Amino acid sequence: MFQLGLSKQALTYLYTSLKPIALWLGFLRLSVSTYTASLFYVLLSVSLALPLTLRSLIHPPRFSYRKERNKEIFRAPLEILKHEVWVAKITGKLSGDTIREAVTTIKNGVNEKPRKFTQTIELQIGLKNYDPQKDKRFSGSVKLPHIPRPKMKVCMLGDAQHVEEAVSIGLQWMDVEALKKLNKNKKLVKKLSKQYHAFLASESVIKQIPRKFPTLVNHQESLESKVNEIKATVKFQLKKVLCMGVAVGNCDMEDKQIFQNVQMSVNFLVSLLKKNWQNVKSLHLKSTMGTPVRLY
Amino acid sequence: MEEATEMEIEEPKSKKFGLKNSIQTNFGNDYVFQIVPKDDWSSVAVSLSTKAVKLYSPVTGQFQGECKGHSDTINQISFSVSSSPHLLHSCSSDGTIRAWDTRTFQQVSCINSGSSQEIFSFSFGGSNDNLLAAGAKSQILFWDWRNGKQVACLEESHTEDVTQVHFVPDNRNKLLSASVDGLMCIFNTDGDINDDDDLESVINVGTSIGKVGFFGETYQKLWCLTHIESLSIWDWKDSRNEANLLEARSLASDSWTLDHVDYFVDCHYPAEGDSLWLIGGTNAGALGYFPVNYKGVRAIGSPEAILGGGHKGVVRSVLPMSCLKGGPSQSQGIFAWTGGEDGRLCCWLSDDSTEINRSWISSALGMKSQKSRKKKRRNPY
Repeated sequence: MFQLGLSKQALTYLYTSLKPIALWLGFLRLSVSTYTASLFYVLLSVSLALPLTLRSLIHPPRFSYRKERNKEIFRAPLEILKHEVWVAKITGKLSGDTIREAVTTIKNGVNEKPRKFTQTIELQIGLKNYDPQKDKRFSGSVKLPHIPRPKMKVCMLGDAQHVEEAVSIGLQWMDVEALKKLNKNKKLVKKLSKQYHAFLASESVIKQIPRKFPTLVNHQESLESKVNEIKATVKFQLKKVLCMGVAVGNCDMEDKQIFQNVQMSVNFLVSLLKKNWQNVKSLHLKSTMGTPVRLY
Repeated sequence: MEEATEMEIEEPKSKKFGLKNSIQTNFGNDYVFQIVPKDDWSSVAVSLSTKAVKLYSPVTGQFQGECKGHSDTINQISFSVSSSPHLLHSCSSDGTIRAWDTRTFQQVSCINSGSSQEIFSFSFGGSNDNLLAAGAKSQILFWDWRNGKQVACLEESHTEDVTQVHFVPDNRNKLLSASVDGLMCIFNTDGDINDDDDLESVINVGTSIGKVGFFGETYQKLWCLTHIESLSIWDWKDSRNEANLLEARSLASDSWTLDHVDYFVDCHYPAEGDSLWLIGGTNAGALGYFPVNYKGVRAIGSPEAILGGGHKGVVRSVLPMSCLKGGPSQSQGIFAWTGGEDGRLCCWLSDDSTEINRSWISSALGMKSQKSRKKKRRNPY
């Protein structure tokens, strides 16, 4: 038994677990002599011990990685991308090359089949070991280094000074007079809120319009930077399913910008998961009309 | 070198607490969601991912009973009606708010949201103390809890799940709501309640809100923890932002030389003084109490209390015993109860009388973990 490399702990465990079986056999009064019974006992213990020792020899994470390697390397041709997936699974990190590769693949796909609109690039995340019923909510917003959706419509609800500033940077605006007319008509307010993705409001105005969640701007900060901040912020929310998408860029952006956005959002999202990379099942990058490219 | 000196400064400041005992709530993968105290502290209620609520004695840790009946995740529990101290309320994703008598552990009443809306939070209040408000999916529902009739439903203020509703402690007619859509709203609940006239102010936090609470002398301030683990401080009376710590986790980690914070559990505001405590945890189960400076330079100080070695997973709830009525004499040296995703309930001893710096590794803890390991071993076979 000791030759099998069993530790003392495992041995005692074996004895305690086999004892009831032996008792049970005895209880059934099987017509076996004491000799065969003891032989049976030894056989049983060996057959139980073997997989146990094997399992203890192979550390669980390495075990799963081996399985992964079989799947990814031996069965599939050795593409660089797949290789990168494999590297990522071991290190628990996404290498820059993988992202660059995926961004190029997506861009090529878009160039092959041009569409009439600028396609958005979405990061799709699949989770595992996550129970939406028990685990904490996975939702929020993150500010990216580059604006993923430049066409997002923002409207300034401003006092005189802000309106002036809005005109100078070509931002849509409404002043207090226009708002007063609106305030009485519910339908118009709804229509207005549907027209824009976000609103900004001056401090003096925000008190008059508690409705429709504008972001406050004061005169100290530049209006343009505030607008860009809003445009660069993307929302994410996991609902009852274990996957979700986040817009991280568009096809008109430079590769490097997309790369930075992807890297930033992946790192941020993973930092919110309790087992970090162990909660990530898959990561894909996809353009609106294109096919998804696997990152992880 | 720098690190070494930092350690020296920090060490005498932070208290370490010993583990008194830990209760294994069940086998398997059940989580402890929330721990709430009864008014007279004769028992604490603990909500679990098994859709049940269990009651324990806070001093001895003895199991008292169990309330079963919900058919989906329990999102919030509380002892909230002061006129009937034995009543425990719970709300759940099954769309009900149930009341339990904690002497008999029987369900006393059940309010149904009707459209089987998931209910994420609730609060009792109103100027006549007759209102029950509940946060559901993009709605806030109001009932008169004395006759169980729904009195109002606000649908236009939030566009996502309403994760928190609280009546303001000093202004019982005002209700604060917070939602995944990143907004906090203040409503006036006097008379007929509707979206247009009773919405007093909106605060745009900008990201999905997880937990909010009132603090300050007249409860005019709000702390707000989000699902991206950021902390912001607001004055709700004039909707003013006082601090916005987006990188709260790294701030707290920077002032904690021994560990790094992965998430925040709660904020704690001891009634005396202006200090606000932020409770942060690691995925491995350690907890730190961080003082938050929200006046002048916004900063998170080094942890003044550390609860380590009790949990092996994410901690979901901390119940501080220091807010016990009747002073520390009643708490029998117990500092706090904590519960988390490892299914453990831990009871922490404060050791004010003897040396503060002594780190506790009690023999009870060693024995306890051995026990649980044995249990786990047997499970698969």
